[in-house]
Amino acid sequence: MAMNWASLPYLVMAYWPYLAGAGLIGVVVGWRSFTPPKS
Amino acid sequence: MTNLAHITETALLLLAAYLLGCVLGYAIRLVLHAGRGTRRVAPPSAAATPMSEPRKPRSSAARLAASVEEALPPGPTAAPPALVAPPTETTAPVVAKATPNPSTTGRPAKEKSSDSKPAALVQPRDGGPDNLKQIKGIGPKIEASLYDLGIFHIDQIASWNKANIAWVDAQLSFKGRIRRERWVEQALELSAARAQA
Repeated sequence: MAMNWASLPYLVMAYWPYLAGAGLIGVVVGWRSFTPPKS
Repeated sequence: MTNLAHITETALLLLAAYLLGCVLGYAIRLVLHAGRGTRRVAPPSAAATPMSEPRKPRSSAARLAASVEEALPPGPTAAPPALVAPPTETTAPVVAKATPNPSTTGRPAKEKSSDSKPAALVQPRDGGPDNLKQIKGIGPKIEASLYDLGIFHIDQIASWNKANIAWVDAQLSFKGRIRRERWVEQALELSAARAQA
């Protein structure tokens, strides 16, 4: 099943709130997974 | 099937957005942390210790008496020459309490508390200094600072009263850390464990 790249703009336009939500969750997860390096 | 492909593409897009966010969040925090310098989070044990077992407050005199009892060996062995002296008397090996510390004479706020300086030793007693790092909250640097102040042994810390704690707190710029991390209580427990052993 090949990705139909032509439909990407449509998907982004249609689902941008969901994409933004997923990105936000990712930012939180990435932020919290950071551990300061021990000196 | 187009419907299935559509769902798959959307899911992949969401996954990509999530992963991008993860990387972005991590990178943002990394950059912020690097810009702020090395800011270490306090170990959870130090923060949790004061809440773990509330202790009944004891008077400084009772604590001092208990620590002296615990510090002394039960047998009739000769007392070590450089034993910590009670606050009222000064024996020869013990540094006189009123002796001004050259490093503090320049600070007028600390001159008043010179008599609250804990009993210090010129040098450790027989067997060398104790490992003060046994007390949670004391690391190698603080241990070295305490050695500089003439604090070499656990029982010395166990004999501190409130004024002594405040004095050492001021010397090491700790802002109440000795009390928060319960150094004296820990030292008393360690002294008691050592006496039982």
